[in-house]
Amino acid sequence: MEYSEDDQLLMDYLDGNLEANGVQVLENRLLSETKLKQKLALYEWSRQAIRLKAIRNLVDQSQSDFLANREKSHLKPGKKAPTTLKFMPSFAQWVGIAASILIFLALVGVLFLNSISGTDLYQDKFLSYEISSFRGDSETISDIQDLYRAGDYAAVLDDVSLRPQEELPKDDLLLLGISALEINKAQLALTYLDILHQQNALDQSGELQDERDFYAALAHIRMNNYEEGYALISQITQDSAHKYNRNFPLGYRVKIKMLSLIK
Amino acid sequence: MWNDVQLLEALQNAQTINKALDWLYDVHYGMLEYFIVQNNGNETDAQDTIQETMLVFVNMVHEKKYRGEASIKSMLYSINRNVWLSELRRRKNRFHRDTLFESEKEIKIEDYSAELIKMEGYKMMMDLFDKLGKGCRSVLTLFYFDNYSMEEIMKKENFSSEQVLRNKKYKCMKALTAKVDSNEELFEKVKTALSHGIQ
Repeated sequence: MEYSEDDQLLMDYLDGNLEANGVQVLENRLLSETKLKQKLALYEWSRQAIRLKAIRNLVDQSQSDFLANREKSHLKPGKKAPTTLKFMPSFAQWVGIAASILIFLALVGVLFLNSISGTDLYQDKFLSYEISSFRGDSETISDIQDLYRAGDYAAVLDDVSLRPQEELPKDDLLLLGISALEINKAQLALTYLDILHQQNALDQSGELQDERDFYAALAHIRMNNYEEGYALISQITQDSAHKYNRNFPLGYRVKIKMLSLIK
Repeated sequence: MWNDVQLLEALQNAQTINKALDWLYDVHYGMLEYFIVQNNGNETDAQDTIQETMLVFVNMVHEKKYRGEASIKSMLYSINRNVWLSELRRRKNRFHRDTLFESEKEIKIEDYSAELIKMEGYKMMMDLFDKLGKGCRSVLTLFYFDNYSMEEIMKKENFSSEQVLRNKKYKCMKALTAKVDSNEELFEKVKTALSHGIQ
């Protein structure tokens, strides 16, 4: 089905922005035009789904707050810290102690950072991406999605080897990127994820952009491109509406930042 | 402390729904959880079931399908029971379906299975909504849930003019409906699920 003036008309009708005579004309058409009636139903469902999604977010928030409070109230209060100190160092001693601790921590930090690799950091945060059952069940979907659901990631990549990358739909580009990550081809993953990014820049729909950002950040980290990875992670964590906003805690970000400085 | 009437009003207002939900959780979570745990579920099962229960309940309130004819406690108990029964059915747990322990014996049980099927239809649409970019999600939520005017959204989201915002909203709705609109099979699937709730 193609979009036409009717789409705008139906949206205006549902939003209450249509004049009385326009309403009359449209309602007469709805009596006899099945396709138009179907579109109207679809817009009505969409509006309700948008409201419901907002409600679901609030329900999730209330539930997690409730459970956190309940858990907190069940915790026993800890022992009180001792209030007196038996030994009180002088100011110079304090400075010495602090300097020693800082040097020690710096050494430990450098040794620690040298010991961790992009692969470890990548694996720590990588999440398998699941195609929703809805899409899998209902759309007459591409082979790529079937192969991805079967976990045959190499076959996913083979399936598109002869097709022009620019013509691939966004769902498939994302799955190709993730499949490449699954079989440790981070550079290839970035290729597909960047095409998805470019498509979004062109049509400004932002479709699957959050997923793209998350997996592109991980691909960079997997390749030890900490600077690029950190830039994307910062972008994700600074955007409170980003779906993956909570996936990179402060400790993790500090590690990546430090690695971007020393490696 | 709210009575049922105040609570229903608060649930229908985007500015107060948060507090109303918190209150519902404080007052009824224990009862709902007890039912699940007494009927072969664990705490995680209870969390999933209660989440679904709350969503179904608030949706019914928004669709004006609940106007206080039964108490909120009864409604929640019945919906929770329906959700858990359908989960047991999904797990093919016949024994426990047939031998349910009713923790609130005085409550008259109602059948809300049609609402649960309808929710499946909305979940399909919500999955599609979830795939939109955050700009689209934000504009559509502010308009359709928070009931902001176009002017308010324009200022909040830094659009240069109302016309630009209108075009954006139009494009976002198109993106949301495009997949269902272009696929008859999918359209029928959503329609079938949602038509269960039509009475």
